[in-house]
Amino acid sequence: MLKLKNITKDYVNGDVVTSALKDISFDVEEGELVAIMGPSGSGKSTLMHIIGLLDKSTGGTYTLDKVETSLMNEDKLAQLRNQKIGFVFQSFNLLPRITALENVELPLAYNSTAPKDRIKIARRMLSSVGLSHRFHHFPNQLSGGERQRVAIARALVNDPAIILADEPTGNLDSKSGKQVMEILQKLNNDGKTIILVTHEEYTSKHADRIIKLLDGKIVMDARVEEKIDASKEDTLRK
Amino acid sequence: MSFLDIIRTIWFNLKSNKGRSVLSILGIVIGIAAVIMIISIGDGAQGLILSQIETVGSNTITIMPGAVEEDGPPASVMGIIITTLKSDDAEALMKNNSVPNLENVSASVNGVETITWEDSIIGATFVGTMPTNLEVEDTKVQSGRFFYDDENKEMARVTVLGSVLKQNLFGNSDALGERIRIGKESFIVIGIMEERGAVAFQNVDSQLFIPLLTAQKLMLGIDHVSMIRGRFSDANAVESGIKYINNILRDRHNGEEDFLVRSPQQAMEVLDTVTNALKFFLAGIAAISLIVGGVGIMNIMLISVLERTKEIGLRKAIGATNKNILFQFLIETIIMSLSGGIIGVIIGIGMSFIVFVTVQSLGYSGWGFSISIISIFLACFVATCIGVFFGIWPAYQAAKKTPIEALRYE
Repeated sequence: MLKLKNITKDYVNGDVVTSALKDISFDVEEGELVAIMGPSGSGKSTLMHIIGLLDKSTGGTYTLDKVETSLMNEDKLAQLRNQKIGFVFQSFNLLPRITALENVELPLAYNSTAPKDRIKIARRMLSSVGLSHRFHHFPNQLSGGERQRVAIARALVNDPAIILADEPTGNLDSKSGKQVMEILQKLNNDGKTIILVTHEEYTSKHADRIIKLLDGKIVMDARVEEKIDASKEDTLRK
Repeated sequence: MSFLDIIRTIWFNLKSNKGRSVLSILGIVIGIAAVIMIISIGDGAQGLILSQIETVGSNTITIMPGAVEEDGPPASVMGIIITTLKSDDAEALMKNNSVPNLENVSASVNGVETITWEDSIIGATFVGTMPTNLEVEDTKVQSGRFFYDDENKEMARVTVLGSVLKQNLFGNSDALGERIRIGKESFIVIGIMEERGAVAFQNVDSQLFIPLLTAQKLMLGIDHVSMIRGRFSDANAVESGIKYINNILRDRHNGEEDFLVRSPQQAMEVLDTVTNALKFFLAGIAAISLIVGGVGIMNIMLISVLERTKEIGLRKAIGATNKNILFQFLIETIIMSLSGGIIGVIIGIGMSFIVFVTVQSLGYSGWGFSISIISIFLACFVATCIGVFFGIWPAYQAAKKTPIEALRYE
C-alpha cells in the first residue's frame, strides 16, 4: 500500500543542517495496522507528515497506493490527501462552528461530491462510529471520545487508502481511548490500512507491527507478539 | 468546493462573528452612504437653483453695465459702479422693432432706504423702474395700479408696494392713497403688487417700486441705470435676439462693448458647472473614507486569518488547495464589503429622502428627490472592488500557510 525508500528530511537553519530523518525505508502492506513509535524528537511526527503528504522529504521516494508522490505539485498533493488519506489528529481538529454532520461532510466538499450524496455518506459514517444520535451537535457539545469518533468518521468519508492516526488517544480518558482503539481495530479487520503514531507502548500493542524510531532512524521493525484486542478490554491502560 | 459551499462557510463564519463583522464594514457603510447622499443632495440643490432661475423666465434677458470676460461674473457684482448704461439704451432697443421678437424692455435702478408710515419704520429696497416692468417680469398689481409713463417723465412721487412690505408696514390697514416716506421724500401709495415668492433667491415681495426718473434724480442723483431687462415673445428667439441687442448697444456706445447681455440659460449653464464641480468634489472627499473602510476590513481579515490558522491547516489536510483557501477568504472580504456597500446605499437613500422631505416642508418645491440607478450600481461595484483590493492580501496570507505550520499553530 505504501513504500518508503531512503527517505531523508533535513531542516536548514542558517548554516546548521539538522537531520530529522535519516534513510528511512519500509513498506506497509494493504490491510496492515502499523504503529510508529518513538520518543519526542525521534522524528516520528516528521515521518507522519511525510506519509500524510503534509510535508515533502528532502530525499528518497514515497509511493502511496502505487502513486509516486515525490515530484507532485501542491494542488496534486492536496487532491491526493483528499482521496487517499484519512487523518485522525490528537486534538481532533473539528471546525467549531459547524455540526458534527457538517464536519464529516467537509472532505466531500473538496472533491465536488453532490450535496445530497454528501449528507448520505456523512450520516452513514457517523452512524458507523456510533454517533447517529449526534448529527446536529456542535463539537463543543460532544465529549472528547465523541469528537474523536466524529474525526474518524470524517477520515473515512472518501474511503481512503490509509488512515493516519496521530496519537488518537492522547487527549482521551482511558475509556474513550479504548473505544477509539476498538473502532480503529474494527476498521482494520474490515481491511483498512492504518498507521498509528504513538509514544505509548501499550497503545502500540494494538497494532500488527511496530516501527520504532530514534534520532531519525528506524531502530526496530517487528511484528507484535501478543496483539491486544481492544474489544476485550474495559479501558485503555497507559 | 462549489461556490455555494464557500458561501455557506463564509455565512457560518460571519454569523459567529456578528459584532466584529458589522463593525468592520462600518467604514464602507459610512463611505458609500455619504457618497450616495452627497450626489443626491447635490442633484436636489441643483434642481432648486435651476427652478429659481426658471422663475425669472427663460424668455427674458438681462443687460448689465460693464464688460466682462466670457462666463465671468459681471463687474457690478464686485461692487464697481459703472455708469455707461442709460435708460435711452432701453428705449433704443424698442424703436422700429429693431430686435425681432423683443416684446418689452424695462430699465431699473435700485437703492436701500428706510420706509416710514406713521410709527412703522422698515428698511427696504426701492426699485426705480419703467411701467413696462409689469410685462417684462410677468407680474400684476393686486390692488390699485402701477404708475404710468407720464408719471415717470414727471418724476411723480408715487410708489407701488410689494405684498410682504405692505403687510409689514401697514398690517391689515388700507395702504392705497396713504403717504409714506422713502428716506426723506414723501410718496403716495398707488398700488400693491401681487405675491410672487422668491425669484432667483430674491424676495421681490419686500421691495417697493417707484418711477425710474424719480429714483434716478430725486433719490439717487444719477443718470445711469443698473440693469435693463427684456422679454421676448418666445424663448427660442433669445439667442439670436442677444446678437441684435449686442449690435445696437455697441453702435450706441461708440463701438465699445461696455455692457453684458445674459440670458437665464447662460446663468443656468454657469451654475450647473459650479454645482457639479462642488458635488463631485465633496463626493470625492467622501470616497476617501471608502479607502479607510477598506483598510479596516483588511485589518479584520488579517486577524481572522491568524485566528483561523488551525482551520486553514485542517482544510488543507483534508484536501483544500491553495486556490480553495484563497477564494474562501477573498470572497469573504468581498461579501463583507459588498454588504457594507448595499447597507450604505440603503442608508444613503434614506438620509437623502429625509433631507428631501425636510426641504419640501420648508416650501422649496424645486428640490427634487433623485437617486440615479447608475450611482447605486457604481456604489456596489466600488464596494466589490474594495473587497477585492483589500481582500487579496489577507487571502494570500491564508493560502500560503503550509498545512503543518497551520496544524501546529495554537
